[in-house]
Amino acid sequence: MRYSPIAFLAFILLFTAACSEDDPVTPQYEHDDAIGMALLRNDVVVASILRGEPSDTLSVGVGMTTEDYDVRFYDDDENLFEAHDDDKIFSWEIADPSIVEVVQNADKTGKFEFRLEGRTAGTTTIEFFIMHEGHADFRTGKWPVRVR
Amino acid sequence: MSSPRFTVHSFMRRTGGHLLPSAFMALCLAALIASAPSSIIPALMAQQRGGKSLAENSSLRGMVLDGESGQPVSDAYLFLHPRGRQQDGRALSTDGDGDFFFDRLTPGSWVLNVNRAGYRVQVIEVLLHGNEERDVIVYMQPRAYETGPVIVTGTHTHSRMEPSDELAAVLRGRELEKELGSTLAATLKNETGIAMRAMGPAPARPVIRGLGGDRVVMSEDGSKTTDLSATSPDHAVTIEPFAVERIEVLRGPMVLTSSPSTLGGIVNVVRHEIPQDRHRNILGAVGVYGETANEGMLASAYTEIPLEPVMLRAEASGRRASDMRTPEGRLANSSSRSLDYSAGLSRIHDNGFLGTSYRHYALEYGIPGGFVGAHPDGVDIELERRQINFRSMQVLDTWLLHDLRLNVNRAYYRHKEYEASGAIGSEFRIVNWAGELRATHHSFGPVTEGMIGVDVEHRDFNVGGFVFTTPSTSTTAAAYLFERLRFDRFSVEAAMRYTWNRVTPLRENPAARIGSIRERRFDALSASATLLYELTDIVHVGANVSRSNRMPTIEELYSEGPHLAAYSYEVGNPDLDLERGYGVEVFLRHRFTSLSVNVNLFRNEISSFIIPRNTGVINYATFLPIHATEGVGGLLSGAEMQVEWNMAAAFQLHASFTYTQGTFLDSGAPLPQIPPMKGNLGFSWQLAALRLGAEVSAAARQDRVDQFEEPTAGYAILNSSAQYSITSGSQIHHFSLGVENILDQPYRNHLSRVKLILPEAGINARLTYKLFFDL
Repeated sequence: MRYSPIAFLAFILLFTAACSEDDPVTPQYEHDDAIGMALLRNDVVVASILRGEPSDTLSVGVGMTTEDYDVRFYDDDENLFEAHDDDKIFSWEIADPSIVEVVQNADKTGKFEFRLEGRTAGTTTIEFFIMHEGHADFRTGKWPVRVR
Repeated sequence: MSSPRFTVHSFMRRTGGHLLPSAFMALCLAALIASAPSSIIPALMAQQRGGKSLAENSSLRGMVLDGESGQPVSDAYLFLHPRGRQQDGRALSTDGDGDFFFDRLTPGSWVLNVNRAGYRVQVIEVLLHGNEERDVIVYMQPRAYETGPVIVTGTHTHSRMEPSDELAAVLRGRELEKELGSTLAATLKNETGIAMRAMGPAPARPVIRGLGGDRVVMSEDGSKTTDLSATSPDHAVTIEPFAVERIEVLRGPMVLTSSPSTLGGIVNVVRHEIPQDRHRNILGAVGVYGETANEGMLASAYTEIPLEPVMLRAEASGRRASDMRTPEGRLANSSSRSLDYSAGLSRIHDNGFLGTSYRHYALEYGIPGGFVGAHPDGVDIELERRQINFRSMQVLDTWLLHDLRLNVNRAYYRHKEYEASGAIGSEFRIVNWAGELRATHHSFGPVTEGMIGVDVEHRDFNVGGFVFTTPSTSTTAAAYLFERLRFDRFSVEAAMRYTWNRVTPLRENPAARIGSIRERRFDALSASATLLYELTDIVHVGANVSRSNRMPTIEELYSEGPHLAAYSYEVGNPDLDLERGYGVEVFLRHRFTSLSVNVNLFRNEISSFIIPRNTGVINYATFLPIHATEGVGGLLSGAEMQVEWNMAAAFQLHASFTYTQGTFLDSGAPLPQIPPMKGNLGFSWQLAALRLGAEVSAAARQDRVDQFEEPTAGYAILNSSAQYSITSGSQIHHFSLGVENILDQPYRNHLSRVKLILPEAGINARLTYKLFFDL
């Protein structure tokens, strides 16, 4: 059989073409560069946690509910900003859920406002998150909560 | 009809004379085709009996021996033909004593092709003068134990450059199977000067003399491997070690033919994925491997099929392993699964070859979690690499150039990291084009061999998911020169390489928090020279000096954001300068008949040594520790020693020792991630086809640590091995059983991040079976 360099190179090109890829890379997520979180009532900061350091312990009475808090975040310059809540979800993790509960109205689920409801007397911690595509864009660090 | 293969690893010279032209050609061919051409130039020497005169003819007499056992090989098929005239060839077989004899040969260059079932084809070029009777001994290398040497004469002498070649270590044959681990790094970890960086069993990478990352180039058949293993400890190397023929660790001037960074080295695996041997039979191997520490299993097979006028090679391997068992419990989320296959095709002719190959490698593995420097819940990683290679070599044989070699490859690499929730945390894609053109030249004056080459590489690096590094491209072009010279008792190896590199971010940002993200350009001239002096026939001393350069990588320049698997917030430095270093090494080789000793002392001083360091600062969005890349002055110095003592014909003692010390130049404080002093002491006992061995591997406590780095306790563990071979017709069955950490002692690898929660594997029995066939 006579050797044909052209046929051989054609084979290589076909081989190369057959192995092309069209699997796009997941887009880079937009992310909020937050370093802290503030709880506001009537646009006034009533409590905050900055670089993991809370300004105060959150508190609520047993069987009582706080007023609704609006949630804002601090940027690198410690200015407040609102999270883009179209694709971000507000989330939290309570160390001992038997002591306190985070409550949101049904139409506000995942939005950046909530209230606390005391269940039993004691102290625990809550960590709040901005969730995005299943992972935490931002986490506050553990924030102490006392239920009186 | 068979024609010669071109991988003639040979070094031929007349007794007391100069290199024969044909031998030199073979040498150049070996240098050209081998991936790390000169690292393992074997001893091929011929002896002439010039005194005896035959009336009108020359003749070739010889013996074929098994390269492993030294026993005669009967019924080996020999085909001898004048170079370029196969139609004038003659064939015969060796007799029961392995002897052969060709008479009535005309003067000139002859090619001897030796075939035997179960052995590698050997091709020898012999230059015959008139009325000459030439004696040769051909060592056939069983396919189970591929080694380099082809021919030796009755009076065994070493080539002068051989000791400096031993700057390169080679792991092959039985040694390779004895050390075979689940990763390339695990396979090499007991070699002198080499340590293993790891983050669980799957993501492991070799570290040479304290230098890791891309200072250690990983390559396959001489082509750089495209993956992300150099950038982070949780990223795996995309090479399956089971199916390789040999592993070379290359240092010294030869490194500059592939990389501007000479202080680390090259780890090259040789498979001959594009066939370069031409033979008439279908041959190949099937193998299985199992180990107990992780219930790991592997099946692998390869074959080479002659399809006139081309040769086809196909290979496939599959591996899976469960979570690793340690003396203190299971290492959760450390399982892995891989699939690796390739096909290669080449046309081999008298003056070279032209070939192509395709390889696909896919790996899924877990990164353990729950410790400092790891995601609390662990991370799962999926990666794959698809690579197409094209190679050609043509013998030119002009007055200056001997041959020309072209390599082109394209690699596609994909890497996805999944959080425990199943969400993609980060994703990387690399498309890499690389090309190299290399020419070797004939000898002239004191220059015994040399090569000149250019290479180019373009990398398209894309990033997705929860990683904020800008996608970038990197283009590199380089030219290099490598020469070997000989002056009486002095031999010199020297090389230089000029490299130009441009890194272009997709999005420039002069006001980025990490600095001004902008295009960067680098260029550098690297050089290295080794001088060897032959004090006596058995004592050689030498020195190497190197000027090394390394360009910052895309990740080192532009990284910004959380790296979930490494559980750190990585910050690059767009202002990084070249990593430039000067290295000095002195060495001694002492070879008695039964005792050989190698001693190396080295000192590498690096300005702007680029390393990521834990800053002790937390990123308050993610609560991850910030690891910032910076260039610091660093000094790495140390010593290595190897001793082999053949106490009796079948009994050998061996010992090795490695020490590296890393220090910040400005403060004198310890550099991070420097392996501790370590050593091995063991013996092997050959009993016919059975070889038994035992070894103690020990490491000292490492308490010279950087800020935020944990010290590691010393250890000593006991390992043993047994290997047995059965030859049956055209088949060789090879069994290898190794037991590591026999006493099930908890011990920790200083370069493993997992050491913070669990030790290395407990007692681990590894069984390997390989069947080599030749149909």
